[in-house]
Amino acid sequence: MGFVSVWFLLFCAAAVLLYYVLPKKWQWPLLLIASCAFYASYDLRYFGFIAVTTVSVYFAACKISQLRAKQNAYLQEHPELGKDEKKAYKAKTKKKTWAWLISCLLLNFGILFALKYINFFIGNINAIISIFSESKIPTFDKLLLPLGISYYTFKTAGYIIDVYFGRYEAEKNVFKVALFTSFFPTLLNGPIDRFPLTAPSLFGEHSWDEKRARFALQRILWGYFKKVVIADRLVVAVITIVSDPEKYPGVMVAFGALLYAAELYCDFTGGIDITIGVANLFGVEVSENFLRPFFSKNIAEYWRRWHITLGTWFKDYTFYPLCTAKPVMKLTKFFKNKFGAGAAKRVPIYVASIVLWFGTGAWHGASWNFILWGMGNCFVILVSQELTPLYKRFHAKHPDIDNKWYYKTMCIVRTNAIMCCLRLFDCYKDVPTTFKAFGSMFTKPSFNMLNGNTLLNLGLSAADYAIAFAGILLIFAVSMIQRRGSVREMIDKKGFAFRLAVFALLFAVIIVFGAYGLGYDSNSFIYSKF
Amino acid sequence: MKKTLLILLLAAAVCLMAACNSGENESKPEPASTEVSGNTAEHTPTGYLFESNGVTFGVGSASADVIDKLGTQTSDPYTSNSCAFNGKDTVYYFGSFEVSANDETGDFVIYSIYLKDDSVSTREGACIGMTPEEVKAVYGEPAESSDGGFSYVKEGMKLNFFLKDGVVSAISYYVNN
Amino acid sequence: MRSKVILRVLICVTVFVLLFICLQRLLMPKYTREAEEGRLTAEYYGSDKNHDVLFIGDCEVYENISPVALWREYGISSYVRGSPQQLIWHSYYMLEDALRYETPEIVVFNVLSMKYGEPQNEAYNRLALDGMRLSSTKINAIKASMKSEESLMSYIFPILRFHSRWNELNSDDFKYMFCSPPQLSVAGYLMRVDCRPLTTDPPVGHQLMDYSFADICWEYLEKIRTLCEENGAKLVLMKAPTVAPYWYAEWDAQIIEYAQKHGLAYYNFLNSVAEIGIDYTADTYDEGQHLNVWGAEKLSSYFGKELVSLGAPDRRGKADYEQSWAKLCERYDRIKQYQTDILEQTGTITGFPVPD
Repeated sequence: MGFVSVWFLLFCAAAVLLYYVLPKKWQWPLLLIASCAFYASYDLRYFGFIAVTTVSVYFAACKISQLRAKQNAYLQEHPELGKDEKKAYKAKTKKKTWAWLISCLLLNFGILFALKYINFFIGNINAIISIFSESKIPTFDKLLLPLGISYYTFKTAGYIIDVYFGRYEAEKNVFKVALFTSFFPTLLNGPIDRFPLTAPSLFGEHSWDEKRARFALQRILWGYFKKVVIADRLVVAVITIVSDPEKYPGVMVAFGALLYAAELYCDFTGGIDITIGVANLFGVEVSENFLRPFFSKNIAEYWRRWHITLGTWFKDYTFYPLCTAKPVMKLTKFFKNKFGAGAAKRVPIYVASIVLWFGTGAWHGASWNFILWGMGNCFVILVSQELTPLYKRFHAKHPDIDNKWYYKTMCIVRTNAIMCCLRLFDCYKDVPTTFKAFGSMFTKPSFNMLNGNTLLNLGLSAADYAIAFAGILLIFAVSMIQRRGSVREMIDKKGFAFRLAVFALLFAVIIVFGAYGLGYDSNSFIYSKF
Repeated sequence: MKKTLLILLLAAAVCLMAACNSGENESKPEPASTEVSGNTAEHTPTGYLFESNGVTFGVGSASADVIDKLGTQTSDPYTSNSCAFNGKDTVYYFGSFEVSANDETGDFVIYSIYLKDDSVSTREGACIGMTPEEVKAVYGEPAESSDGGFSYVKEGMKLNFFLKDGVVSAISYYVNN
Repeated sequence: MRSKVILRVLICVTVFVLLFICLQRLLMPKYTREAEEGRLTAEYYGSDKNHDVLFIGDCEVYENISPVALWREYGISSYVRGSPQQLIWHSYYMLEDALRYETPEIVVFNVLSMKYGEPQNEAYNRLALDGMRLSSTKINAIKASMKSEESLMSYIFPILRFHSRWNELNSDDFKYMFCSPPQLSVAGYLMRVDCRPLTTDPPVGHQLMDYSFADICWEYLEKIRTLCEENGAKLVLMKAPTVAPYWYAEWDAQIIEYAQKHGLAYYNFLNSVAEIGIDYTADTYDEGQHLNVWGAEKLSSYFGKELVSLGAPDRRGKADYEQSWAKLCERYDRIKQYQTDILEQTGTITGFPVPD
């Protein structure tokens, strides 16, 4: 039951109705039941995996909290203990809590690795073996990939790491942990929420709020507009271009990259809009995951605006811990002694960045395409950092240029051009093909291919292009308005009739112009394979 | 006890909605890069080919390229129309064999060649009147077998050998749906 | 305040529902320019439900049986509940649907659809089912007919299927948005007055690997028989006298056996062509695949005798029947004249032209 289905809408409607009819203390249990039903509608076999993750995380977190509580109680009861004795006791507790943390993380990331990455890993081992011998390690056929496994594994990992570091106490109710893990609107494409941010509203009691519900429905409509009218329409042309790079070189690669940028943005943000809208219907707050990323002036800013929760997860649980990890500190010291302070200060940043972007790439997919995509992002960000002195000198010479519209536009265009190039790894089937396609933009520009004949043979008609273009313009306009404040609030202020007209029109556009149903390759969300 | 019962009832209510999904085709998220057909296929014959009057053709050939070269038709072609739509199905008669074509793809494309007597044979040398063993000596073990005959499947078409009284009584080249 | 909110919610819901309905009515195909037979299913509901004989099946019934001819010669009140390439499960549910409105004495089922053991394509499903009124019968019909790529929801809310017609809309889509297009059939019969003779020998079917009908076809034939029995209707099996698709002797034998086993009358009109007086050089408009109106009248005249012997009552003289059949006969004659005029003027007829 994907988002783009009448069943999903009926399911949500039934769940919302029950949610507000039942006594408030049954609200979050109902969400858990609904989430289980949603998950089961995909494949009952998935249940085992999410259950193992839920129970292991719950149990490990409780154990960690218990051990810490025991430690605190012991130290309180024995004020006579010396500093060294206290340290030793704490070290013993830390060893145990560490063991629980690592076991839990190994188990769950192990499951993720086994299901998602094992064949990729074996494939690479076989590639190395093939240099020396003809034997091969067999890969696994028909591996299940449970819905949302990447999302919930990371979500729960963040939870248990936070508990380990004492940021909050473990949740005592296993069903609440289950709901946090499996809350159904977030299963398909995130976000990767943090427990303390989402728990109050997830487990809280909610009364019907007409304005909140109205805004939620409006957000859902907007999400469907982006997903069904634009993303699902453009995907046909993108696939046509990238599946035949020989036929569509040069300028067509660039054209495809632009279409893909629009398609990916609309698909992912549309999905998040639906996620947030559905969650808000229940009064549950879910983190925003996008903040007008195509308005970014540099790559670092882009990644603070695109898939925000994934970025912050890696930043908080990979980048910062790595920067201060003992082995990295040792390496830093080594570099300082060997190469000086300049090189040394780069060590933690470089090491942490490489690991972060390797992880981010791998998270997106078990293939070298995604890993190189991650490494490409890493490279651009590190180069950009290295060029900081140059930028500073430039800005010193031109102090006001940051406020000039042409400079801002240049930065935005530059950022998006770089991201479009990096996204080519996303599109083409393997690394060599990606490089070849990229290179053909310069070696075989084929500008003559940008004609009506070619463009109308990509699976889109002139009307399709018109609708997609109009839709993208509308999204752009809304994004521009959003910089001044909430668009829904602005529409709200115009009165009931205006509001009704706007959203009735949006509804009609989705129903009529949506690329769904028989005859369309109605894809699920691109990110729902994670 | 009451709590448990209520939870079970709630579960049933919402599970019912999720379970109603059984007919839908969106049960699994699909990878973004699914295949999309681009241009229409050229009309090249596939699988086992037939030869007559110096013309080699088969299932998938455009009838316009073939029919006029096969020699004199022994009877006027018979065209039947599809129900409700404009599709046409034409049978061409060449005495020992018949060729059927329809315009499902826009152009008239051959979907069947039917051999009626032993004055014609397949390119590989099988003909009406042979025993099944003789045919299998030419083509090997068939992909499908039944009391009525056996078939060989190749590249989207089937070569069918029909049996009557233990020997091949008809042969057809047919599109494999 | 609360009542204001409730009122606004009601207005919103009403506007969205009305918008949805209007868009659906606009975008549904009207079958006025292409695949006109798509109107047949819905036309049944506009008829007077006073039929003693109900024909179910594909174009072998709706183009070969003339209810007006049956009325005029025998006073038999009948309707042809047909649709293009109607499969046997379509026939079963069409019958079940019709039985919600009336109880005929005789149900005549054309057995050609026994050769189709699987859903053929979405188009024929749509032509058969979209015109059916929503009911549990329709839901069951959809579930039985759907191909794997189809969805139940797209039948319940057809706009989910036909929304992409927005760039194919024509004036008829707007004209018939809230009203039905002109009646195409006369008591379910589609008329053609032209002739394209069969000048060759009738095509002979190719040998088959397996002549047995699919289990599902037997299952539905049995369901049709049982449904008739439960509703006090006599089931009669028929095979129309058309030369294509080919009707194999092996198939015929199975139907004969079934009919004998259950005491059903079975008429294979292919064996009675001479007796009926069908001349494939004059009585067909497409080389024997379907009869034209002259052929249909001959067949109806012949079959009517049998139907009378099976108990079909003569309703002539009864005011309500006379009234409704008078209109149908008048329309029938007008269509005949209209098409004859077209034929004289242009030399050709396409589709099933009817006067306004």
